[in-house]
Amino acid sequence: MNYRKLLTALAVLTLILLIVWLALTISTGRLNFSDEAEEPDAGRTNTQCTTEERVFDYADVLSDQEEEDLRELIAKHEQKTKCDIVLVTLNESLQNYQPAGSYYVPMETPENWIRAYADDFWDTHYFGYNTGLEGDGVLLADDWYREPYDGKMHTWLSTSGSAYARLGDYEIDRILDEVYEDIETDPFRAYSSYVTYFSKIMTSGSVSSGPVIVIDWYTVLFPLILALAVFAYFWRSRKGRITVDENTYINRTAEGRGIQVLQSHDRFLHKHVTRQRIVRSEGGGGGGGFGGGHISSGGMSHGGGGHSR
Amino acid sequence: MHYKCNNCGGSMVYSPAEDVLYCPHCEGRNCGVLVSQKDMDVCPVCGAPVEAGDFGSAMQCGNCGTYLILENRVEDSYRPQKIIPFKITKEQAVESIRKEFGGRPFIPRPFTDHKALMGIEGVYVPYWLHDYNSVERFTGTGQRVRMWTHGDMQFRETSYFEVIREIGVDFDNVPADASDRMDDDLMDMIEPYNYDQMTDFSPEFMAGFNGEIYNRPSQEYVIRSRTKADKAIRKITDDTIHGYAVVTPTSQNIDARKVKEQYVLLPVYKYTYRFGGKNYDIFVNGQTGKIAGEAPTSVGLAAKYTIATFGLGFLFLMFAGSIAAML
Ligand SMILES: [Zn+2]
Ligand SMILES: [Zn+2]
Repeated sequence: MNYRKLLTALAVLTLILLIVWLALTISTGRLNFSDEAEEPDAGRTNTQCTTEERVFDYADVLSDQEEEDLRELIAKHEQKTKCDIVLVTLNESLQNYQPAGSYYVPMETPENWIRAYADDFWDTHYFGYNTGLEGDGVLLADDWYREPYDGKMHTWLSTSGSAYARLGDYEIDRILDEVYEDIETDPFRAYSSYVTYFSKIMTSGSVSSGPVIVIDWYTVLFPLILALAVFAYFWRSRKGRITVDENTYINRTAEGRGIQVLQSHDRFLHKHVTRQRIVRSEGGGGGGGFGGGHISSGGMSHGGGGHSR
Repeated sequence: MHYKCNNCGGSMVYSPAEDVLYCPHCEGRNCGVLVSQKDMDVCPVCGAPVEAGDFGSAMQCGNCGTYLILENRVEDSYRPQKIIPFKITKEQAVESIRKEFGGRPFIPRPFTDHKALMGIEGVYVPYWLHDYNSVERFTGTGQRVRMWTHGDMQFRETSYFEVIREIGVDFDNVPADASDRMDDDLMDMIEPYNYDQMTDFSPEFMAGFNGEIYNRPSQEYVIRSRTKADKAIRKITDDTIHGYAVVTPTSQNIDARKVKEQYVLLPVYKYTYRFGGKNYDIFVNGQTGKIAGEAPTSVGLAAKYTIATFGLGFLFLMFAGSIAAML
């Protein structure tokens, strides 16, 4: 039958894919079990940061409630990613924006303007999960002002530290694509997906240069359990089953006496009573969790990328 | 001796389906004559040497294919008192093995190939059937426990009883296979036989099958049948004791008087398959069709199926995930 060949092919293909995946994850350093398992969660260690705020809605495109929800979401994913996650919305031209403390360099395109603004915003607030200088994190600057220069609104994602190391052009494009999908209709949803999608990429082990395939744990675990169940079920066939019982050999014919109770009695001997005070047990305490490690910070400058609409 | 077809001279066999002597060559029925020959070192038809071994009583001549029965091994002290003739045919046995093992994915496919399965051997296995009149005398202490609370105190009352039982059971036809080459565990698993279909022995039933004589005298197999009978009466006695949380036996003994023993032949199909340097035996009860035995498992097939299952599951979830993402 042909299905056996099909299964063989599928098994071989699965093996090859697993090997390739394993080789890639190991060679790109994404697989680091020991670090992840052993390093305890140190929490945010940046002491230089000048603000607790992460949502700077200068363009006022979010309601107060939405801002609050976003802060909550960011706080959750900051812990997960060990990255500061910042959002700035604007509604002003950045054509003449000059980074603080630097001499004025006229910049060619609106992309450069918003990039300078984003990087500068990060630097001047000393953002970064681990440190205020080139620390780990991302900042999304979204300018709702239509620059007369090209008639477009511009958005920039600035990366630093571990996010800079992790996010290539491809990943940045993907994040900005996610944001732009809903930005006109539902800014809150757009900015939320900025946070979640960034978090997904940071916590997934996929390869930076290739397409981001986010593999959830259950996508691996469930088939694994299924496969092991199949294995366990079929591995050893039972030898057989005993189907004789205590009744099989009893002679119930006329000349046999079958089962005869010749003597049967149960005689009470004595009894004794013990008593015990009821002790109510106290409930025990729960345990804590621990998070992953961090990837050492990369280059000197910010990474980033921009989109316009 | 052997049964020769009157019409064509072919070698007759016993047909379980029709309960007659049957000639496979000319398809004649009940057309055989018994050709007797006391001393059989060589095949009476072709003169080739007969390999009967220490215990063989019926076999096929390896040279000419005649089904032979060794006369001096079905006579006198070796004459079985009773026999259960084969009730299921070789084809039926093969079919039930295939049904049992054919669908299991880790079993190498040649194991259930028709050709290999047709090599199945129909053999009359020697058995001692022992009848026992058994009596178990049991004494022990039973405990009944009652618990209640009063205020913040918990009370526990334990009552002790003397438990005495004397149970008599008559056992009939407790089997012990008297062939040492047959695995005892598997032989226990193809039980029970229905002894109502047991008939007086006639060598006709052996035509076309292999047979063996008892390897050792009855007394040496008593331990096998006693174990079965004792296990049964112990269970029967235990079932008469109710209502206790704990029963601790103080004395427990079984008297079993062997009142009868019979030497009988019982039908078994035996399929042997060699895989990975090991023999795998499957036994089929030649009367009821019940199967026992272990089939080989192939590591390669197991790995293939396990990995393929994982791959399929993974692909399915990835696919479902991407569909969900699109919605
Ligand atoms: Zn014939
Ligand atoms: Zn011959």
